[in-house]
Amino acid sequence: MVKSSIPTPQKLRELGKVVFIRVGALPFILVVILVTFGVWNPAFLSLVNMVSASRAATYLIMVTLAQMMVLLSAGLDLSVGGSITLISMVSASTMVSLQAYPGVDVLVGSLVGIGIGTLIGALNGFSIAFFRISPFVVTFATGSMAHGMALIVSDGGVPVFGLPAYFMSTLGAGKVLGIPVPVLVTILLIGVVYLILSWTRFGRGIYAMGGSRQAAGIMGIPLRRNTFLVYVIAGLLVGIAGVMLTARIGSGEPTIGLEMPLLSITAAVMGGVSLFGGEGKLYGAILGAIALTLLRVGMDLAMIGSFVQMAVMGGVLIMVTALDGYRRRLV
Amino acid sequence: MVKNSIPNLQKLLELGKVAFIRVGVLPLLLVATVVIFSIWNPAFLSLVNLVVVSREATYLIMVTLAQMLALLSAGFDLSLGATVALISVVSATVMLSLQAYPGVDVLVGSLVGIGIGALVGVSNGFFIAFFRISPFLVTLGMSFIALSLSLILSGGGRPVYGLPANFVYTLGHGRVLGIPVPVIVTILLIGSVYFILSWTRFGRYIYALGGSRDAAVRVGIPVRRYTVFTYVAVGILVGISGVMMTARTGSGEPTLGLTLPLLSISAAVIGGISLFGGEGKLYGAILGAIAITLIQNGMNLVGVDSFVQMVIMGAILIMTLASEHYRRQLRTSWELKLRQ
Repeated sequence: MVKSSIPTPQKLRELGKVVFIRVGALPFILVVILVTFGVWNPAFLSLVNMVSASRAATYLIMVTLAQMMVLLSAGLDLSVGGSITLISMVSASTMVSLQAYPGVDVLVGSLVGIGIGTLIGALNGFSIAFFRISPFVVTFATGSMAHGMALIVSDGGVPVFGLPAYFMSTLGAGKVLGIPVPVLVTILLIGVVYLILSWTRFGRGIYAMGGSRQAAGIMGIPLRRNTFLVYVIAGLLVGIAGVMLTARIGSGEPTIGLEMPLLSITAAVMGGVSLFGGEGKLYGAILGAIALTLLRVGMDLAMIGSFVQMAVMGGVLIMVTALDGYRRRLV
Repeated sequence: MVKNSIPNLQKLLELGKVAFIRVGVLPLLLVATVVIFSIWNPAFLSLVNLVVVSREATYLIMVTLAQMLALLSAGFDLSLGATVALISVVSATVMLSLQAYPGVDVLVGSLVGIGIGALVGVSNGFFIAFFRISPFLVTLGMSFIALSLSLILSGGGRPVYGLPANFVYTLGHGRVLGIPVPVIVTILLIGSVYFILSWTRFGRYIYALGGSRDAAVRVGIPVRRYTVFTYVAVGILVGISGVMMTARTGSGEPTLGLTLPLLSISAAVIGGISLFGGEGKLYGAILGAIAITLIQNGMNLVGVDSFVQMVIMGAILIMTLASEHYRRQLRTSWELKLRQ
């Protein structure tokens, strides 16, 4: 008894291994992030910073939700970044040109933004479902097309200023019952995705398709329709994220969100969503997005330059996927 | 007989269909490009412009050769754009700092550039082969690392000016026997890739790896080692093209070549290289790169905005892939019909 109560290094390692196999690398990464930056700058762990981090995390969570659904169906969406630039530009321009009709401008602008996201999703879904083109190439191409269009609309990269003030003060910085609006919207979206994935036939079909497309086809799951719908829903989520992000920044930006494909894939993989489809939990993806945001906030606080941050994010992506592969082998 | 000699619409359609099934989209695309742009602007077909096109095409061809090797092994390289940027900045910086030793500066700078390409290739290959991570993710992560390094080393994106004049003149604008140096280098590279792919064990293994990894393992191919070799070869090709592009622009540019991943994948795919590995011909990739360059050049001549070009390129890529799918379906039904 006495012997076993003193944990030997070997036992600790064994325990760590079991935890790693059970829950993946994410808890370890979270602890490392919290400890490192907490020691580096105690302000990192302050309540103020945590609230601002949670607000910052919402946008990445929204996009990660979209990315997760696509990944679950054994797809991939690289167009989320390009889409957001186009959504931001067009919805901002629409709002500015409808300035004369307060109320209508924000409504129409937001709907147009969400519509563009959905449209790009539909284009992705259509090409992937009906032409069986690799999702990677399709979304890569539509992403750069959307970014190209954003640059055209913005006359070569000029942001659109002068958005309606209450658009920013409600959707961007507003609070309802003390909770920031972006957080509310995110919770709502998480709920919707949870419902779809766990309580609808369509949601179970996504998991089945991702697990084995052939088996799903034999079971009678409408593969084409489901694939198409997955990308449309992802596009819708990206549309909402794009509009919310525009409200947050307060202008239509032709380069906003370009790192989203990298970040959202990293977040999802970190959270245990498989790149090969059919495997992954909603809470994992959300925690992954939160961990990534904490990393970014911590690096900001530690005054690490944005280029170095970019390299770190790239390194994290490679490391996380390597760990994921290692874990699969241990299992 | 008389009836037969007048081709009716249906027969023409049938003929087009057969041609399409046989040779794919590429010839149609090439013909359409040449016809449209030469009508739009007759200067398109002028000798001067064609020389310009052939020189411009060389850079895309070099990069497409690299992309093709990765694709044939059922891989991908998204990092080659950012790698070119990093190579450009580092080799330019090295040349500047060795300015005192003329001759040595260019040699060392170029070798360092090629070395960086090989180094990026080794790390890509290592992660892909030994951790079995999807090549797509590894190279995506790597592209961010390489780009941020090039931005950091260039002090936040400032180009490096003042390259040795003989570097710019020989490698960038020089001629040997009247043939531009980039064209000669490209021909050499095409020759070596052809040799590797068709006449060496390594080359056949690349095809085998891409065709079916499992089968390759079973027949005893050292899969991991050859995956690393493939990406090293990719890296060296990227290194050479990075140095050549730096010589062409005449400065170390931290954003050089960022559109290359999209362009090289488009070129390879248009040239009939399968995205799933193991299938594709060298001449297809070269013709694909030429087609893309022709389209770009034509759009530049008629004054299409560069952002619009980005949109058009994306659309061409999707349409090519869609028509490839259609072609595969047609071919299957056609072969069935022939068998009956």
